[in-house]
Amino acid sequence: MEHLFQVLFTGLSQGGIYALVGIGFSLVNMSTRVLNLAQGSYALIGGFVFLTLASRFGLPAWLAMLIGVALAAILGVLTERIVTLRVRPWRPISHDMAILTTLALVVVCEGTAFLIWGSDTHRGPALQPGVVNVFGAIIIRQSIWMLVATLVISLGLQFLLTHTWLGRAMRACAQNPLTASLLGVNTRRVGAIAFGLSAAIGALAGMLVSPITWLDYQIGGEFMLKGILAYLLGGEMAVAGPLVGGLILGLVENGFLLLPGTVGGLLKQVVPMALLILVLVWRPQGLLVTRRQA
Amino acid sequence: MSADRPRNASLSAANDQSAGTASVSARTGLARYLITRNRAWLVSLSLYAVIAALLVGSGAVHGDVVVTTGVFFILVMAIDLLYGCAGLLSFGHIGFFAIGAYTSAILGHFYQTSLLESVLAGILINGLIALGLGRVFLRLSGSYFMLGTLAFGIMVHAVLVTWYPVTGGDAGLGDLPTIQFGDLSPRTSLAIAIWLVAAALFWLTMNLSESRIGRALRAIRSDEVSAACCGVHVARLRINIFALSACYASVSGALFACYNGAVHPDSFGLSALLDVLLMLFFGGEGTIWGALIGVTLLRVLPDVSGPLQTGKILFSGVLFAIIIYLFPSGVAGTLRDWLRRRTSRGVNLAAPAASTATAAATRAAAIASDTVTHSLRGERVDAPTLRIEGVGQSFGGLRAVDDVSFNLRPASIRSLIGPNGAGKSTLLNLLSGVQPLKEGRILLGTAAIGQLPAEAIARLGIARTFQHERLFAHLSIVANVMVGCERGSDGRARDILACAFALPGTLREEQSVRAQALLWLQRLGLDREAEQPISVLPHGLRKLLEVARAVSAEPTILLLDETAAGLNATEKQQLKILLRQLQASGVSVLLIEHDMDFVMDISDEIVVINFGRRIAEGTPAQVREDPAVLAAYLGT
Amino acid sequence: MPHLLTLTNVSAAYASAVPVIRDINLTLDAGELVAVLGGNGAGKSTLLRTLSGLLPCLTGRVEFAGADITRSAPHQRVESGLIQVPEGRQMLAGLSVEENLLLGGYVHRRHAEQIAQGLAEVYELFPRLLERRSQAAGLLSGGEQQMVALGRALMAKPKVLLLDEPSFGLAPLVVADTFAVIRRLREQGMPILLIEQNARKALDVADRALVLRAGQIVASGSAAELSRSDEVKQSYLGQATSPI
Repeated sequence: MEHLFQVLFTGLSQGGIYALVGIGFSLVNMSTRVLNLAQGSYALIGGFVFLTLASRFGLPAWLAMLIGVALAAILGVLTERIVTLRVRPWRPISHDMAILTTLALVVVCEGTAFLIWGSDTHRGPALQPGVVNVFGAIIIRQSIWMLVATLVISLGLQFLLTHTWLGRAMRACAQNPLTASLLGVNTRRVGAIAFGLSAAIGALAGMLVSPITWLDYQIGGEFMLKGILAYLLGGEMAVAGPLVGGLILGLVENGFLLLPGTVGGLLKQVVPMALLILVLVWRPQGLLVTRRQA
Repeated sequence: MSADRPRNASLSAANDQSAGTASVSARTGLARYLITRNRAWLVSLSLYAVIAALLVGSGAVHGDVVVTTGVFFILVMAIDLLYGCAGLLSFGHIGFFAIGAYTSAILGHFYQTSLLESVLAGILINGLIALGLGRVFLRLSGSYFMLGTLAFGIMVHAVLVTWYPVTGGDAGLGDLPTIQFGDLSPRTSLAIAIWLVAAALFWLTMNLSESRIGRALRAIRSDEVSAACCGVHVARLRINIFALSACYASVSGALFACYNGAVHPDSFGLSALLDVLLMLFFGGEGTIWGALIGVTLLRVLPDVSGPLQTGKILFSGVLFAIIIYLFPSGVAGTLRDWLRRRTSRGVNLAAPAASTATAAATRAAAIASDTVTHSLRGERVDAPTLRIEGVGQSFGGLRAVDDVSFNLRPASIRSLIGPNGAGKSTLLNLLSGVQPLKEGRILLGTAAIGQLPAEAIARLGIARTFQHERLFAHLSIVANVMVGCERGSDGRARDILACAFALPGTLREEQSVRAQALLWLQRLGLDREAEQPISVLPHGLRKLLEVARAVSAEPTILLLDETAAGLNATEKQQLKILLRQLQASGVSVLLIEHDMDFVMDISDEIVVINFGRRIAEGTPAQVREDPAVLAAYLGT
Repeated sequence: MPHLLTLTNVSAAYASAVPVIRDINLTLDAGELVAVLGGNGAGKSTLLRTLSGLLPCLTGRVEFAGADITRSAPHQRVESGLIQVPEGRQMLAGLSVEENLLLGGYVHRRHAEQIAQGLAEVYELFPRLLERRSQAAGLLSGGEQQMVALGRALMAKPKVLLLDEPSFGLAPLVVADTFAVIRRLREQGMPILLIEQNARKALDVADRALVLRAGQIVASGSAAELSRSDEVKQSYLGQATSPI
């Protein structure tokens, strides 16, 4: 029983990380209609910068985090600039070229990480080491922090989207970019902010998870996959969709670790994909969205 | 019903004059066609083989490079068939490649299965997976396809690493069986086998790309809706091509495993996917032969093909970004554009000078001439009556179409007029199956067609044009009309195979469709520009070309959406003559039009709708005097 | 005194490089309502897209309130007070009515007072919208959407209002309501450029009018002059003498 609770909690906290990557993915997609595959790479870069600054250079964790998040945000804005280099008001973005560019970026990040940090796995410092005992279940403090961060960020973003001008502008862009620009919204700037913000969130996810899932140079692709799955499972809703999708994904994955031997590990890889296919057959629009958006 | 009519009735009518010599000329024509069709790529492939042999012989390039080039050529060709033709960007092919390789490796390692058998097993597995995935992801918008296939590709890689009892995990699998031809060494035998397979697949793919399947795919890439309205079975064709392409990747993977004698998950990760895409875009998508150029160039570049070394991943990532940005059409694309520009020199349609009096006069003369007109249709058709009964459509709280009923009688021309936003185009979308009908009934003769998808309606003999012309940007001018003539493709496996193997029947049909399309271009005075992209055409000619595309399908009912808008006086005259000819042969026409001179002149009957409702109906004279109409147009 | 809005020899084209509108000269003064009439495909909407910066000028100059805005981005033009109500109303369908209206005041977002006051004014002008404030804008009827579109534009405190076919797809009663609002705005001194198909309605409220055909201005003059000319009737219903 305690074991089950422990696994479920770990699943939720892990799922929270997936949700954060997925949220970044959906923020960018809703504001600019670009599928940013580099979303996982921000987690990679953010995580590595954090653990290097904190472990090797001995910076305090909060400062290392701040620097990592800022760097990722800059990287995010840079991504937007690169993707929209040739966009003009009368010449819209080519979505194929945009997605390919972000894929190139994934590999550039991977290559850079390989050059700097090599092919070994690295472990980040925990915000608060140790475990706590909840109803007999042993829970790592870090995973509590992960879950708290996920919920706080989700609520914060939801507030941003519904109660601030920036959020309204983002939603206007999501609905109809042309109308948004006729209302005076600088759609380019809103897009850049969305990229920067989601990169920062991605980086934070990478840092939070680094003490638990060790990082290596290929982890960007892994994060990207989980983010995409969370996003597709939940449906095209800015925050709630990827959040629910990510949490479910985390639960399902960790649930299979209860099984003995390699079967669990294998199922952990296959079942999310099977789940996605089931969801898309049953509810093509995702779990949360009631009406299909064309 | 009309759809059962022989497809090429009009063409056989055109050949009547020379009935005696027709069969002979058709045969020699076919031979000539075959030669011209295959010569270009046969010559270049042999040239490629000679250069490769020389390079290997002189020791400048390692033999391995040439062999793996063949392997990756197959893989990149598979992706190009999907993206270059159908516009579907699949990130999952690295997964299909991996499944092909591991199927062959596992069968070989554990059961000593022969290469041929394991290739077949891989094809079976991949084909089934692709059919399943395609059914799920291709129903949804393009981004779902990209993301879904990407997730699949990454998942396959993860499974390879995790499932170590079977896949060998991080260490991979070794000791794979090989093949041997006679006294040749196994490596040489494999090299020969790989290039034979690659050449065969290249031949099949080129055939596909140049057949009606290739045209239908490019039509889908340009505009799905308009492709469906030409009769292309978009969903089925896309799924089948996706599965075919996955099978290619499987073959490539099996050969890859066999040649290396071992498999390792690193060959199937994200950066491997990027390498493959890099080859595609460097070579140039959309040409198939560009794949060969791209693969070759990147294989001989040791930095990309070499082992995992510092900087390699970074290098290919940066190179990819640069190519996507500065050189998006790749080597082959640039070459193709350059060739096109060279042949189009002297053609200057876009300039106003082209519409000088003489050019216009020539065109007008061509239209009036009898030789062209009787090629239009050799026989009378019986158009069934199209009945629209109580049709309605709402968007949110808006009533776009509200309880509209009228009939389109055989061999009549009926106009649908009304102010902007009155619901005319929505009605046409409902009639052609672009939007599903929810309220009311649409009957063709006695058959209800309201629930049919667009391609089925097109195949029943209802053709249409669009308010803003929707020609296929990825096809030449003549190919645009050819898609109309052949009504696209039904996308069945049988059709795909017939085209891939270039069966004589397919080739003959191809030729006659082409001749038919050229007649249409002659009629529009465009025969010299036949091979140019549609972007060279000015607005008016594009609209007429779209009409030609619709009419060449030999519909019994033609729906035209604001075709006269933007035509000059001569072109309008041309359109009028065409519509009269169609009417004379029994075709019924429904047109939406704002040019009242045109409407009043051509129509038998007019329906006026406003704010989604029918407000008047009658002959032009009646409608012109109707107070409700005057109010709708000029205001009250 | 310089005009409020001046177009000098403006031409514009889409991707094909063949100009859709050619050599347009047009002025608008304070307190004036100018109607641009013309049939379908005459280039009316292209003209408005060019004015709001969605389409670049091939040639010519656009001046607004004494500044050259030929090369300004769409949002800069909105900030300077050139506000467009797009054809077909273009609701942000998934957002609520109130959010649509609030976004109309996006350029004044730093002045909460002004936004609140603007919102109150719009609700006073269209009480119906107050009842539906939390409903998704996409679910409104055509007439209600038109109110949102107009209200949204007024939230921006326009110096010039560009109306693109306000009668688009609306029932006669709703068209009449809409034109009543336009008339009221005009009486309050709002300069308006009205692009309209419904010629009689437009000429009723306009001071001056232009007729656009095939991308060029073929007639212009006071509203009274134009309502008598055949030019308008021809542009819509074809030549009365044409053979049938």
